[in-house]
Amino acid sequence: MLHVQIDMFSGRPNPEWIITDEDLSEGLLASVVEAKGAAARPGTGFSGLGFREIRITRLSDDPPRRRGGPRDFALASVAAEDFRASGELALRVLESMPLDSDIQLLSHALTPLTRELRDLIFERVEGFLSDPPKVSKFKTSPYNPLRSTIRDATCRRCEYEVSQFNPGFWNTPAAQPRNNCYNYARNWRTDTFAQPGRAHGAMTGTMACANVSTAAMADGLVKRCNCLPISEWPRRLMALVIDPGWDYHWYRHQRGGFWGHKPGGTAARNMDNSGVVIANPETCNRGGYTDFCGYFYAGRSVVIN
Amino acid sequence: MLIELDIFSGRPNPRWPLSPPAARKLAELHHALPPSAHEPPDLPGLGYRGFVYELDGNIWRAWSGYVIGSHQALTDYGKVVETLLLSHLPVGHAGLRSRIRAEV
Repeated sequence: MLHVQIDMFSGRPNPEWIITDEDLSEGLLASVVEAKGAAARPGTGFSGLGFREIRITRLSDDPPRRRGGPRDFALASVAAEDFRASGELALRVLESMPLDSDIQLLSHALTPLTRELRDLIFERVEGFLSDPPKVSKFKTSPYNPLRSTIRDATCRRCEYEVSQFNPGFWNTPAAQPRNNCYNYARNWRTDTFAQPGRAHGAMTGTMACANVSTAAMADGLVKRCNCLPISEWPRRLMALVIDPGWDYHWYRHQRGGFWGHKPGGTAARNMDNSGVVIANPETCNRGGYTDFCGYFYAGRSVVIN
Repeated sequence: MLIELDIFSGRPNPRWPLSPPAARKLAELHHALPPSAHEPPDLPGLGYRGFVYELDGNIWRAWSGYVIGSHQALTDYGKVVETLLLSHLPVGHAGLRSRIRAEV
């Protein structure tokens, strides 16, 4: 089964439906594997008003007949390497839109799947494919007074962004208990107590450096010194540590040269277990989190949940 | 009554229901604790941060010889509440027992 969402609206819910036809699902997944460059990472293409992309997610853990396809991907995205092939597949997906879906989704109350909506989607997608918007590829980092781009002291050819320490954003009754160290370090409030790899079906229960690193890299993190392009702005530098066998923990490099973190459901802070501002996550007091695993960059395309 | 062992950073903390007899015992111990004359120390960031439970409409945290609520702290120098809750740690989390015992 596949979940299809047409990312096109701003206020009302996007049109979405479930493809239950096994042959249709498998055929589409096989085409994505064959048409190299047709699938893009969701959320990395056009981000303005109007049609943006078609997002597709596999809903079951059954392996597809053709291996190698991504679990989540976007079609008709300007981020696709082969935009033409991506568009052709997108039109095939649109043909699957039911006008009277057997599976009622919450969004259907506000965005029912009508013939008018179907016509609108086709019109918008075809217009998008024939005249795709120019996505601004930053040549320099956008200006933000609370965020600076710095050169990595360890890998001088790489750059990343550091933002002002802002614990007040996290330390509220609504946000604090629902967001953990991974949310904080990635700087994404999901309210789901995000777990490395969960957004991409790659979560691990083994609390060791290699396993948690692999899970996080499935979300899109890359090891330090694999420089991220400016299109991934804002890029974060994160550090991973492990309480062997029990738990993991993440830190984020902040503006001012220190590191911030958020231990579980507790308050975000910039101090270690000795009450000292964290200048170096490798040497700060980390309690039982004795294994230092390394550093990672996280760009804008890193999706966590 | 639901008990949470506040110890992890990334993974969700262990949570489990306390049996009715153990919950009655906890309430009895809790109600016998005197108010604290001292401000409890700050919680550590990483590692064991106590047991959290709800009683009489308030959330309480038993940690380091104190039972800390939103408006009041109680003294538990004998750490009877933490000791009781540690003894009811579910089998699935038994591996954490020795680690917490070192701090209780």
